[in-house]
Amino acid sequence: MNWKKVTLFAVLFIFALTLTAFAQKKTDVSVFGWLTTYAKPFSEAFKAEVEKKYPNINLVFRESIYEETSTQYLLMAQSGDAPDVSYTELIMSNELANIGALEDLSKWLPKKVIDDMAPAAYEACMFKGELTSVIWDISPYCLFYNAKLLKDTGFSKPPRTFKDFEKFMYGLKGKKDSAGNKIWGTNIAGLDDLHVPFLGSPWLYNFGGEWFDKNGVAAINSPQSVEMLTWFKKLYDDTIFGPVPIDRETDRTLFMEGHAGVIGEGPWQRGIWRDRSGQGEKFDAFWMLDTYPTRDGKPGKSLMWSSNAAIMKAAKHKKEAAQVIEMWLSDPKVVLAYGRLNGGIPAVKSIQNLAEVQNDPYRKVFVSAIQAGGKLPFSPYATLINEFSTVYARAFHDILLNNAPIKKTLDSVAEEMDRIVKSK
Amino acid sequence: MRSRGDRIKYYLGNLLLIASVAVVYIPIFWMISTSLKTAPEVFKWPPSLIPLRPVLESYRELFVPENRYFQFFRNSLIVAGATTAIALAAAVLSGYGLSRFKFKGRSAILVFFLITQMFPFSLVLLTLFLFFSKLHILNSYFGLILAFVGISLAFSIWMLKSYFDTIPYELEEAATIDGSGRFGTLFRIILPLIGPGAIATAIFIFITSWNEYLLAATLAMSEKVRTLPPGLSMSYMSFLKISWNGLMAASVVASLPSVILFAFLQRWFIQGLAAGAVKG
Amino acid sequence: MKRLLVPHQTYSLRSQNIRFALLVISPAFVIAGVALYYPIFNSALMSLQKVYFGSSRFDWVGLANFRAVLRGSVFLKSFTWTLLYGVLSTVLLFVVGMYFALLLNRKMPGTNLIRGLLLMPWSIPVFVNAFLWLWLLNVQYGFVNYILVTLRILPQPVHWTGGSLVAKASVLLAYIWRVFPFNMIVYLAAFQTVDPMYYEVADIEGANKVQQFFLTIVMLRNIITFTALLNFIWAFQEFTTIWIMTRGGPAGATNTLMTQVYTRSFMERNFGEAAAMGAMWVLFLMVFSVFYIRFLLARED
Repeated sequence: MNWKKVTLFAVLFIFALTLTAFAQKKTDVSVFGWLTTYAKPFSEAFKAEVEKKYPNINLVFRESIYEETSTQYLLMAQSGDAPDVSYTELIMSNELANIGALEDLSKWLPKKVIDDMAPAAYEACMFKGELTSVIWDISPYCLFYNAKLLKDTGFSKPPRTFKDFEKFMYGLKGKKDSAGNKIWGTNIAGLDDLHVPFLGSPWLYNFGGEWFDKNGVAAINSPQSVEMLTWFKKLYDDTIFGPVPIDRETDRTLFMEGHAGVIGEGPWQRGIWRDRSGQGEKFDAFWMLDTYPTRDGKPGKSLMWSSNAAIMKAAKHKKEAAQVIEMWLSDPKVVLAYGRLNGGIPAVKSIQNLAEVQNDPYRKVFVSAIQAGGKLPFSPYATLINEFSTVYARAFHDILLNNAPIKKTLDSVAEEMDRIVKSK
Repeated sequence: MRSRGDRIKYYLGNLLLIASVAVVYIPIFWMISTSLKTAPEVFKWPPSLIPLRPVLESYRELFVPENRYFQFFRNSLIVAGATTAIALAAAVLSGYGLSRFKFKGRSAILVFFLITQMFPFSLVLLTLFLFFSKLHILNSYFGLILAFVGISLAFSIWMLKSYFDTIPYELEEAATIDGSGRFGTLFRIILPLIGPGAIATAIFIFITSWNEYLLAATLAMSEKVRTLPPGLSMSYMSFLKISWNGLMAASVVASLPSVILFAFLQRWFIQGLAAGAVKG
Repeated sequence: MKRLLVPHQTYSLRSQNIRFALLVISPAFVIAGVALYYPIFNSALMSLQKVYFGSSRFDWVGLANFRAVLRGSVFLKSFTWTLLYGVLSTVLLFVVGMYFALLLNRKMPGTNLIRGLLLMPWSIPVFVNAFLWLWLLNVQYGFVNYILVTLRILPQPVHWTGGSLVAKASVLLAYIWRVFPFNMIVYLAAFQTVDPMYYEVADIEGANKVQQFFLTIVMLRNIITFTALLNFIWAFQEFTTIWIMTRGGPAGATNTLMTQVYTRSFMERNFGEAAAMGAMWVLFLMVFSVFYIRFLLARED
């Protein structure tokens, strides 16, 4: 017996055992964001899937308040105290990328996943040549119409042209429900300055307007934009458009109680209607879905909104974070679960092409909105959305409520927007 | 003295008072009434001041551990309670010192305290956040309490100083002659006398801390130490759901500590105010 | 009356006193220093800087922030409304507070109970109050509209946060409702310090109730003016109510300096300008307070 060999072997064996013991120790991987505030069942299912595939990961959700998340991300970037996985929206990611706080995910994700990303999603996430975040759910906006009110005004399906849409609006004028409540046409919920341009973007694009033209000059005072606001003002004066301004929750409530003809919302709204109405899937018959109206009736453009994930440079467990993000984005079980529970459009081609998604009439509408085109509000200066929103929202309300002259007001908005761009 | 004219005026006054109180209380009835309604009834038209089918469901929801309501409630209690204790102690000491001892710069200090009272506190938030994160006291009770004490101190010191001003100096003189030291005088003679002033100040501090939203939301993002104001924002005003009946129920319960404090300590509160703020 | 240190104290005793004084003041100072003075000082510095949020970088830009703030039309509008808000709320708080204080200051059973009841609006947390009024004033589902329309005071429901004037009124209403108990309590406490002998003399001299009321006001003018100053300063500080109810809208109608500071700092990430605003505001309040107090002291003579 060569005792030296045995001892060496024993030592190596014990060393290997210790290593595996350490390797098995669970790593806490934190996910920061507001996901759990509206998708708790999905979060739990997601966590279960991740931990099944990677037993050494313990997924921890750190919940944030949606309205404060972007501020908190900036504070975290400054203080260096960062979560591992960052749930962001596209604008938040761009803002963080702008200050160099995000990792280039093309270095962390496998090539086949990156190649699988839908081209529009991939391009939207590129920032100065780096893939600073990935989209795991595309959420364009479409219009939910009140089915009964459509019928009452002579429409068997949602109006596709502006002319028909106006007909629908005026069909609702003066209507009251059985208890005497006023029925409104439509609205842009704008208590928060942010929502006025955000929810108004699809309208602007379909009127043919732009926030900035291709030279980066503010184009909000274009003839098409003036046309749009003149139209809104007319609807407001005729008491069809409104109440202005209103918070989003009251806006949604108005629709749910049957006091509004149409509301603009994202794919998640089906789940919310089902839940809040207390009627589950039966409530689907209450509304009809379509893209925004256009001049010629083709599918309407929408805004390019999404749910993203990123890894901050200050994160501690980047490898595990990348593994989580990969599953979030491209694991069919996870993506389809989110689709079923919350509505949502997958951002990778392989899942988009699955029968379950292709044959779903609900999701098809949103997909056609994506394909019709649509950009982030205030592209290409989307990160300045807060400053622009303040200016535009004030002008919008001034025009509707205080009879401010439309062209003149929009001219000063354009001026102000150009000035803001220059000052940054 | 008591002519018929006087009697009529008296009863009219009573009537006016009752009517005025009723008008003031409409929002409160509405708050409680909404908290007892079922979700569909909340949006019913015409709205009913008294719910047709009162339910305790919204209150029961508060106890669901998932909603974390009582976790936030407990955190608020801890933070507000500790803030009150610490700020009160510090303010009592300072108020005493500033009241009794004239020294150079005393009025400067007093004016300085008053000026900091005028400052917009949201501005100090950024600096506080960065500073606390360097010291690793973010998301901790300690950090929150420190910040809350900071913003309560100025007003508390003012109140207590004015209150101390109303206590005659003779008592301390007598004690000094009797040979008691400075601290002994303070603890044995003066402190027992500041009851009403201390209570009035304590109530102010408690309510300020209980109400504070901005600081709490930014300095304590973690759910473990989150207090009620940002907590309510999260649970009941989250991105996609607002239930007015739930929010009202949560609000009723969130109002209870201050209401109870006032109910029991009313008399001392008024006494403390009368002596301190009024005479000073 | 407070007395000065006994003049014949020896030097060592006197310095011992000072040491003691500084010792007891120190805890408060240390805490306030860390949690309040340092941030305030830093903010003052920030008003002269352009701060890049998300990094520790900043540039010194001198008075550029102040110029930028003063240039915008928004500043003038917010400042005017803040002043108006301050004055209106102070006046209304006096009226309502005094109204209830007078009604409660009579010999009547149940005064304590009613006084306790009336403290309720003030003990409700600020954000609860804001949500409550937001809900009460809801255009479609709010109780206020229901009452006003049913009683035929209004022909149709009003969108309370959807017009410049009504939004201002809504925000004032929510604030006054919440704060009046404070004024009421202070006035009530003040009444108790008035020697009843004055009223007896007035009665004998044949003064009627109205004249006696003015007598009361004159006697309490110190506390009334001090409370008014507090009310005025608080109006500047008020944020939660306005933010939750109107976000400073519509079209900036209810923007105060405070909402502007918040918007500029946390929404537009322009901490330099926000700090400049803060500095100007503190300066204004300081100057105002000095003049106000001097005015009062002059009138006393």
